Amino acid sequence: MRIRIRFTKRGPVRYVGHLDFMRCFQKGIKKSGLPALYSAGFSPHMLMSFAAPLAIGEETLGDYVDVDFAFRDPYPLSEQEAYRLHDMGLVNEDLPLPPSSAEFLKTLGEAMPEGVEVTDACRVGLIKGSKAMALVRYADYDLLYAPEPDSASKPFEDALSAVDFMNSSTELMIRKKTKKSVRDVDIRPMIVSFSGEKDPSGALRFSLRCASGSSENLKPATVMEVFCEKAGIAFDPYALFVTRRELLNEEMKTLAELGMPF
Amino acid sequence: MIKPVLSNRILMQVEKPARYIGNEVNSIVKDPDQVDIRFAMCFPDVYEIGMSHLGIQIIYEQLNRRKDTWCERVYSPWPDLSEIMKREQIPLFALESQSPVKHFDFLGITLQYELCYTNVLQVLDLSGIPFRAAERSEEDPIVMGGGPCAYNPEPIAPFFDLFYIGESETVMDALMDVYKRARDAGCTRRQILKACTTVSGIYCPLFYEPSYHPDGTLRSFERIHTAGDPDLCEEALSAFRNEEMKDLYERLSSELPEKIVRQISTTLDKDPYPEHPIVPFIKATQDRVVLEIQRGCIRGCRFCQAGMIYRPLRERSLETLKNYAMNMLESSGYEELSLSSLSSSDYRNLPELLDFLITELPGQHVNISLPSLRIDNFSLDVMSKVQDVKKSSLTFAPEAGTQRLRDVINKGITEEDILTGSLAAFKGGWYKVKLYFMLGLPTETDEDRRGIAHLAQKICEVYYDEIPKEDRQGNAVDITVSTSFFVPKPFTPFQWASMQHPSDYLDDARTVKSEVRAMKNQKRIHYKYHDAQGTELEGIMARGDRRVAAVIEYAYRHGALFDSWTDCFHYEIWQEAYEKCGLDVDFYTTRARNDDELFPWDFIDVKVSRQFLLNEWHRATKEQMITPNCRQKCSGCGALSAGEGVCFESKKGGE
Repeated sequence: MRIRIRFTKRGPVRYVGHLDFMRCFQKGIKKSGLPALYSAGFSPHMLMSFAAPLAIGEETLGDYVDVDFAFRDPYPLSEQEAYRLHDMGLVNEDLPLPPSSAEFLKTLGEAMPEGVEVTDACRVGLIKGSKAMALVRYADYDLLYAPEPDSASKPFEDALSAVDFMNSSTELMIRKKTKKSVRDVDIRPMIVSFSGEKDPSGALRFSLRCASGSSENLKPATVMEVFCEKAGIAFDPYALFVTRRELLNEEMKTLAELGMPF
Repeated sequence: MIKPVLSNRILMQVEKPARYIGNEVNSIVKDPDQVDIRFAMCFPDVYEIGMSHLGIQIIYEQLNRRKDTWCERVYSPWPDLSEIMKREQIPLFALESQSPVKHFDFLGITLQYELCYTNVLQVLDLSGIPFRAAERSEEDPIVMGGGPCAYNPEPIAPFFDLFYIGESETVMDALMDVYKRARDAGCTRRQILKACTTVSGIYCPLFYEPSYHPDGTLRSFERIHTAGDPDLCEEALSAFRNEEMKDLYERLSSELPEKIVRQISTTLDKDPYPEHPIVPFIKATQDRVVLEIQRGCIRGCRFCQAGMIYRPLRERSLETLKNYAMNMLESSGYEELSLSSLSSSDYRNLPELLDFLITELPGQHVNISLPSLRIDNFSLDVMSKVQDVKKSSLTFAPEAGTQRLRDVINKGITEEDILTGSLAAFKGGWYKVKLYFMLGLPTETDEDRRGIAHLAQKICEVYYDEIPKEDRQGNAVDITVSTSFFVPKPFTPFQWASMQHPSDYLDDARTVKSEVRAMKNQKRIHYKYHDAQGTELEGIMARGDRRVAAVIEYAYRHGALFDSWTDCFHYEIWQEAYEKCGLDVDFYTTRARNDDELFPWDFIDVKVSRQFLLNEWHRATKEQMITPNCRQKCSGCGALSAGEGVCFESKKGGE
């Protein structure tokens, strides 16, 4: 039975890179004692797949990972699912029933490092193209831009007008450099919504929904770089704090909404 | 959750920021107001290396079991962060509390290899602790060294307040108790150190003075007189001369020990063990659960320091190890387990233990990574169960190319062992073989060096002569030969041996290389050798005396750091340091030692007698005789006085 887990990554653990984080998460599952399924071979690996990588330093309130467990799937199995189980020498009816999702989350949550909370779990089917990673089209972000006082060359009084300017633009060209080439890219179509406000401390807070995933991907830092350019302030990448709030599919449904309760 | 002391700006600029954030699963956080002793335990190398070390985990477990003590971890910041910390004057901090090391009671530093000595100075430097123990104030932590390099502490003696000689399981608790007693009674720093020397195995360099002969060799190593010492004279101690302070007064006025005796645990099965190992966020070099199956070694290889300084061999019981394995895997979520010990094949319960780990271990999907085992049908059978035969390779460590030289070093492995082991492995489907050798061993000649190539060739021939073509599955035999340069170590029979100049080492390596090229199957033999410059430095540090300390300090101040990392090692800094400090390199490396020379480390009693080591040196170089291992025959090394271990197994004779 494939279970989609929604989790957070906040606090110091945000400095753990994606590959290392996957390893930590796997250890957490192992430690929890929940019966994850493994691939065959001399170095079996846990059958798990993350929806989207998170850059070092970024937090998330709602990322997803799909993990296969040796639980009896309460939903009717597709042909593919039945075949796969058979391949592993398992019979659905012989497997233990899954715990309630609340119990599942409690057991798993206790085994996770601090800052990693598991907030939601649902059953997902093993249908072609239903892998979490393939589903992601958009992401919601909260951005906090808080440069140190002395590095802000200009107060932010009028800076937020750049948000309106960006929203009313029909194209926002940036120069994208890779190892091999330099090309101009229009990021405007990748921004679904963008709004900003000043918080009492004087820092700027933004809400951003933009393209994310394997087909089209826009980094929040890129949007902020353009914002700073339009606002006429220097962009300080270390003053930007990114929190991902949610991952969405092409119909702008959250990945959790695509699952079924258990 | 403890907030990182480093700012986001800094963490985002450095490589692998997760090295510095603490908060790992199973790390221990206590309320600083509820503990009396803050202990910072440091491995002076980068996080991934330090986190792979079992010794620190044992000490961490042991000290944190005390309610009055909070033991935290410290590792060397990588040069990128080190520079930022120096520039921005950020003091070095312990991972758990993220608070400055400077405010701790103890800074314990484990000394696992000589090339970490500049990193020790970096740790002191970033912590804001004076390099020299003599210059430290009442506010500074007590800096204490331990581990294998502490068996010759002299090159770094001026940088340490104390050295702990022996295993932490023995007197660490007693030491903490004495420290607390002395500190709470209002003792000065010097008085506290004096009180600590009454704990067996504790060496305080400030209280000992070497003197030298005109030829530079050590003349004497004497205790200082405390009668005129402002902190330790009778008058200074008068405040403690009352009924309530009687115990402390006795410690403060007692005679300094003439010899420091290595402390050996005789209760390994009952000692603390890290059953809830800390799980690093980033992949450590050894990212797995470690099971120390035994301590010590029966083999008596004459070059090997570990084989001497961890005597006698003591095994952990099968039941204890089974429990540790289950508890560690369960509490950590690790999916890999490795066995750790010297010469693991000598562990008598190995078949039962491996059988349990492979077939019975509850909760599946645990990879077992095997230590290097003697290659025989048993080990091949085990290997085929836990690893992919096609991908794995066999490892032999003959250490020397001819039987004559293997007898000199007392490496109890014969050419026949290697060839029959290889044949059995080839029949089982293996075709990759790794061979480890040393160059620069005492009495070595070109014939021994060329013998390395000949042995590799013979293994190729076993493959081609004995394995029919149809059984080879298209694989060609694949042999990797690696050589390192031998460095004589204290408390080994070879502590009297002379080293060579770095250029001579390279000549030796080229001799091996050209002979490999002359072999019939040379295309199947890959030869690798290490650089010789670090070898010279290691040699100076290993058998150095207190005069070497100035060189280490000079080198650190001029940019030497992470010397064990080839990319970071700068030979020219060290050459400049030798010259500026007037250090005669040859005195420490190539010079031949007389049988009766007093060595800088001779004030330590490792429980293996100097007479035994000298006999072994003569058996090696003059008589060319091998010495049986501890299970065949007791050779009277002295370790029996520990009162435990292999010395008390009933002798059956033979293997």
